[in-house]
Amino acid sequence: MSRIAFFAVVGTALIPSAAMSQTASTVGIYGTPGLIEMPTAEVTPDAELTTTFSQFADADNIAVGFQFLPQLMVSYRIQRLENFGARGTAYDGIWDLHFQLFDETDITPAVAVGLRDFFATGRTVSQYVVATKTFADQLKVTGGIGWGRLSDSDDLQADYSKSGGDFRWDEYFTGETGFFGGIEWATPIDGVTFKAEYSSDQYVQENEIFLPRSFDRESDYNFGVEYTTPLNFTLGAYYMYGSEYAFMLSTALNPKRGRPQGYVVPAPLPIQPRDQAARSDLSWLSTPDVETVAANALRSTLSKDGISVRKIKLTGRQVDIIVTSSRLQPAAQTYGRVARALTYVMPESVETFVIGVQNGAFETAQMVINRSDLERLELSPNGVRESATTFSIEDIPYPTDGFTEFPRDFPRFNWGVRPFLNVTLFSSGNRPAVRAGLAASASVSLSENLRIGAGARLPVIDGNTDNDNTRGPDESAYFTDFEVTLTRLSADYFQKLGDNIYSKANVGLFSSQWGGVGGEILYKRADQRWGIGLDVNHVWQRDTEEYFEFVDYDVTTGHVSFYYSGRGGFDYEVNAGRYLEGDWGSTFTVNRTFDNGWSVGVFATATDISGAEFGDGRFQKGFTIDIPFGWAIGTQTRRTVGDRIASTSGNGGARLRTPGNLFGTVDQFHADNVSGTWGAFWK
Amino acid sequence: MIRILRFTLLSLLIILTSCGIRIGTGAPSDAGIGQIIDNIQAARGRNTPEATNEGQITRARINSISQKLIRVEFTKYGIAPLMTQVASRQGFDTYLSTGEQTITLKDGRVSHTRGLPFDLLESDFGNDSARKYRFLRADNAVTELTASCTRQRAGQETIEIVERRYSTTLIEETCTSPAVVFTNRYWVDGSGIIWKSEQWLGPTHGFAIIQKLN
Repeated sequence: MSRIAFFAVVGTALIPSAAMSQTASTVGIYGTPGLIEMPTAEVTPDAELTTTFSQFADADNIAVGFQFLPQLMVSYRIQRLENFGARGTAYDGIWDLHFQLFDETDITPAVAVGLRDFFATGRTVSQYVVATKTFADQLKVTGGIGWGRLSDSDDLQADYSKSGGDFRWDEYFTGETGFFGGIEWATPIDGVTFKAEYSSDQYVQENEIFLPRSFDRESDYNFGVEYTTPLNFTLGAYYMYGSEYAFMLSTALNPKRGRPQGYVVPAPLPIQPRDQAARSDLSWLSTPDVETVAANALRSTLSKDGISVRKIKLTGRQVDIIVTSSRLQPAAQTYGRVARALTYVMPESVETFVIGVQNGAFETAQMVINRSDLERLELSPNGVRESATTFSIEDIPYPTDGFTEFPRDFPRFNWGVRPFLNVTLFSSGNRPAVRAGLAASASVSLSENLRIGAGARLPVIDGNTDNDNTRGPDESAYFTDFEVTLTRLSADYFQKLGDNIYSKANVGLFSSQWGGVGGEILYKRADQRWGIGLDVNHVWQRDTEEYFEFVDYDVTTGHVSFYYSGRGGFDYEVNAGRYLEGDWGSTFTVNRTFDNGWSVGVFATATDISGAEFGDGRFQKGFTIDIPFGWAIGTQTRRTVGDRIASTSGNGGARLRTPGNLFGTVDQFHADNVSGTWGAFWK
Repeated sequence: MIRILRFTLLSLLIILTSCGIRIGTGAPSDAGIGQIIDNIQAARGRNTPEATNEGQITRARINSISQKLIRVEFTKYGIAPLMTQVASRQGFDTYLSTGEQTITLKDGRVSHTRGLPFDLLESDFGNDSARKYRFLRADNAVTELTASCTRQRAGQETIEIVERRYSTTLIEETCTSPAVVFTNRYWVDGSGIIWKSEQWLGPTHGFAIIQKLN
């Protein structure tokens, strides 16, 4: 019986059937829960990432929506409008929010409130309150009240002669109101849904304000059919306003569902129990090179899990060990695998296991385990929960002393190639550009602390054909025409300075735009959720064509950063300081990381740069998506695909990124990160 | 200043490329867990497992093996690996397959699985009216299922396991939870040994038929 065949069949049935019982929510052509154009009060499943393409009349939409909280969906949509008045083709970057106030019950409907285009950067500014009720598991009835575009009137709220980009608290839910509604029927044919709606969008600006007419609005009703394939693709075709056709393609990914193939690692060793009688025997301590003997014995077990022994210190009753892990696995699992291996190798008298982890160059955290507790809890009916509170995580003292060390051989060479995706959105009216291709990286570690790294990108798709209108040199302006971009060439030095103080220094090219010198220092305790960092760099702006040339602009930039690693994978970060344009301000970021490595964040930056210079709005906002490449191809690797998508391209609020993420490296094996995936300690 | 930076960059590039050419990369070896247990147990002066999954299983072969053996048929996937006992304490017996999964039986009942997706992390059999199963989800969060179970005799049956016949009592155990209802079946001989059972492993894997071979 082959193991591969076993895994292949096991993988097909990962999703528990209980999750499938409700009729799935559907999105409208704008990518948020809806009928066709009108919204519903549904929400997509928590953490769902929905991508929607649609085409109707003169408008194309590409929307990326993320169910950030079980009730809150945030969506970013690029709308392309053709024949739009005198401007010809226009591109708008539009933010939509959809918030469910009440979930549906047996008696009451779901109720949601939404703000479409709430920064008024597009032409779809509207708000709604909507209710949806499901009958007999197949018919959903929706009714709602709309403002702005959805007001069934020519009251559009937004003054489109002003540039958007800001919250407009005094305008939301004001002016005329209109009623909309519709039904959605899950037909007996598997995957086929019928939709009908009454629209309260009069399309006044397309059809009355701007000429030529976009289309003939001859009816208030829209009808459509959607088909959802088993692989979560939804295709929709609609007949709109009695005169036009519309089409939609939507697809959903959910990091909580894990890899389709499931997360499979070989079973761990069962914990080896001890002879009661031998526990007082300390004669083994006189074995020559006892620590080396122990390390060699551990190596045969732990190499399988990608874990190497760096340091070990053995006394009669306690072992202190420091390991490195080369594999992407939950931090809790690394501790668990080492603990199990120690039960095989450590003499009976050793009662305390202190398992430390070196992550990157830093010895970041150690777990203290009482061996008797480990033996007892492995088979205890409530061992998972009990062990979570019994075993503690603390800082590794700096400097360590009394250890026998097993240094790695240096220099060490690493390289990798992964796909990259880079989306650049220019300020309104310009073309958004997508670049994709291969990113290669190589590094040489000359010691545990010193590394030289390089990165390059080779674009395969380069949508960036027209960037004449950009104001300053933007990332997309570098090395166009499918040239190889040198994205990094730097020396990075990492040094622990105290039990819980970590630092790095960088010199070289940090990104395709900036090169220079600087450093960062971070305070983070292993047993607390927050940390504080300080970084300062002096950088020169790189030439757009020559690899080692710089243009005549340099700046000293730096930030004080506060990090908080919240529960449920939510990380918060506040950075205050000086940005690359010399502007002063701060950035707030909320990032949600899933235990399979997906990470989705939203950020906002406000600085003292003037609104005109900033581009669209007084502050920069956007989101980031990071998907581990291993998730996509089914192997364990630390490489990720992802990028920042910012809604404006003005130069204000731009933050320097230097190689080596200090907080991410230091925090990975800390208690805040281990607790969320504690079950993996026993896997 | 920019000249110094440029010089630094060129130096870095030279070091990087020269080191890279000299060193290359290597992959760590990938020994099986069974092999590791062999090594460790041999090192500790114990018997090494002798069972293999290859070839036809006969009573003669089973008799030649000193380890406890079970055969676990995953009905959903149509496979039935042999598993060897690798640990036994406090009434919990852990069996290992060559595919590097383990299954732990508490007095014949499945209490833990390892090396599967959606593993049964632990079970609490303490109270039949609130039996608890905890699973490790794909995102490494623990999810708990509480079931209320009742047992009843469902007749006498003679079963055959690899050339050997046992007269047994069939005991059916029906468990009800808000999410799922399942029935486990146990074939128990006069001395209370469960020779064969059909047990639920969780929402992902469905049932396993477990036969005790020796």
